[in-house]
Amino acid sequence: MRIIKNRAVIRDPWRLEEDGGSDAASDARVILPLQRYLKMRHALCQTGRRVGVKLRPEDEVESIAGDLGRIDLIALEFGSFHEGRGYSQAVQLRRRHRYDGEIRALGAHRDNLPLMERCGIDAYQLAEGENIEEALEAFAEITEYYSLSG
Amino acid sequence: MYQYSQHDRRQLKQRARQFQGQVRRFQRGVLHPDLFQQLRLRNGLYQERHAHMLRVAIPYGVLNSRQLTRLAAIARRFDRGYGHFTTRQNIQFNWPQLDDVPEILEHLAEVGMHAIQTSGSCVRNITADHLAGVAADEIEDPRPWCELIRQWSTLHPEFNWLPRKFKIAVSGAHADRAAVQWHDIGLRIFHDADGHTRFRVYVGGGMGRTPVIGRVIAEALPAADLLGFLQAILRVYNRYGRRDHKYRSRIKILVGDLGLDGFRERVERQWRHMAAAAPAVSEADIARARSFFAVPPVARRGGAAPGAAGLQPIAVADPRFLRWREHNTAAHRDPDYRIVYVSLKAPGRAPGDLDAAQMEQLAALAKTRSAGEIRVSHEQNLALPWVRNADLFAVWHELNRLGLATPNIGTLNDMICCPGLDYCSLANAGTIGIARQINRRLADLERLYDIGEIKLKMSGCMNACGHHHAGHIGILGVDKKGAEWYQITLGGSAENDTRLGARLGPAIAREQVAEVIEIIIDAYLEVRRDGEKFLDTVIRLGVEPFKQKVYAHHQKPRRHPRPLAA
Repeated sequence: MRIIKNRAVIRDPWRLEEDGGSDAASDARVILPLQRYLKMRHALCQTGRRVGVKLRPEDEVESIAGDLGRIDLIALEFGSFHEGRGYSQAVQLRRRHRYDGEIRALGAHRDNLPLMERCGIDAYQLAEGENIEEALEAFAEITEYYSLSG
Repeated sequence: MYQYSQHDRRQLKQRARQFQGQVRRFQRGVLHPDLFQQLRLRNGLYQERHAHMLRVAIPYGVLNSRQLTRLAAIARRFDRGYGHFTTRQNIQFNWPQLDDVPEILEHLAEVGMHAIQTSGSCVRNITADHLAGVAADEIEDPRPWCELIRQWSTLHPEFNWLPRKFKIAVSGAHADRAAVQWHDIGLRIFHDADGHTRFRVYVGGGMGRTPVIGRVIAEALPAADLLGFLQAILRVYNRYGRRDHKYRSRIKILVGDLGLDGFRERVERQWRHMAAAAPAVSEADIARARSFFAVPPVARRGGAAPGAAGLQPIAVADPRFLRWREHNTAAHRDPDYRIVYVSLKAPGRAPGDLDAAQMEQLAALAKTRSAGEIRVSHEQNLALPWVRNADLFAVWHELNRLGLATPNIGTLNDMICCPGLDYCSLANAGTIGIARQINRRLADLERLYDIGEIKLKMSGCMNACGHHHAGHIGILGVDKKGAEWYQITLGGSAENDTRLGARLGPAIAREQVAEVIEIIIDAYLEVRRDGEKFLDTVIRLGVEPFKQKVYAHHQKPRRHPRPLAA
């Protein structure tokens, strides 16, 4: 699958594990739903494996705050284009917790990409029906922002 | 006033162009209608009953002559020659074509105006006391703070998809003229014992179908913390506000669910976490913002201003002028000046409407007689904030000629009124016709003056754009099996004594609204004490005596062939 990362189209090296899926411990690069991650956390810790974690809009960023050093990617679920909680999750991860791994929006819409980027999201799996090449144009539409506006 | 820099103008142009692209993609079928709806709302564009409606922001109610002239040009070219001023310091155009909207936005951008975030689930236009900077009772001018909040909230990436709309109002005077406790966040500026600027922060106010009066979340917030604290409130709301039900998603519901203390605890925790990352207002920021709102140079010149006694003999001799001066002007902080209200409540006109010719000529008048400034009040009037006493007579003459000098400010006929069923697709009932009905029945000015101050506020549906909950007399249009009916409330207020109006009783039939208002007025005149205002009488006696008078002869209204009430 192709995604946008740092304003470029790339082939996604990660695999998204669904809720209730099979044991993922052997996979190379896998994004685990938060609940599964929390269950496997101890084992992952011991092997030193690095993973990605998927947060739903209602999940608390704080639930993984202590683990951010060994999480390479955090995927934020945007179920619909007017889902707004992920923006705050991203800001909290970047500003409060100083997280510097990949933050990926799942189900992103073209017209929201500039907002997401300004919140610290740097990778985007687009919603169904979005054209990935055209979506890249969204980033350049507005270049002027007030310094006070985040 | 605030001067747009190259930077501000570029942002507006880019935003207009971005919207043009969105319109095109929508028209090509590439952009889903549901998503386009949300994007157009964030650019102030509604789909209304007959056509599109474009809502343009007038941040904190401040306009200059050039901007008003531009609004007139837009009204002529893209609308049917008029505009409607709303209760949130916006102007609405009711007839633009979708294809024209990006071009309208470019015309607005040229004069430093826009329609950004005048709609949609985001931070809306920041409103303020319309007398900011000139009011005699002002503690501190709220406009610099409003401008900082405007910049902070404009295209804020985190808060573009809130659970619902979010409204902020600011007052810096002893009297609240901005209805701050009816806003999601209301701010009142005061000075502490050391003379430092502080904010009393109210949260969780709002009208709509669940009216709630805002409560104090911070008693004395230091000025430097303002934006950080607002950010903390917005973040808690964005994270935890309900998104499952449109009518349960305003911040007032969240504050109610968590309790004020529970909500405050979350905000303060968020605030502590933000720490150094919070946007702080530096001395330089506020000094720069203040520099835009200094006394206008033309007003600073002083010179021939003869002070309060400076009226020409011809003016003193004209009782119509004196009556207008008494009712339609207000004390200025500089005694050489008066604040002049421009009444948009002429009988027979939709409250808040102004046509293009009036806009142009008012803009010209403001240019020569009011330092080029015009203000927009949430009560749907305009004001000229810098009129010399010596110019009052000439200003009255010109306003009279323009049909903008009806001396009815503060009277029953100075009513707030949403566009209602005639325009709005949300409305359940007409409002403009009711306003006309009341105007006709209570037309005599001497009688209105005797009745004294009454704030009548009318909405055509539960969304309460006409602020009926806060009316001394509130009128709410409801739909009953396809017919328009009206619920009356008494005793609401949007000022220092903010109160929620109480229901009088069953709804009233359309054709009897004015009659019922008159019964209420007569009941008041019968029982009022010396100098007691209508609102005070209602507070003293409650609604019961009024209820008895209104429903006295209609005990079984449903069986009545032409019911007064149902």
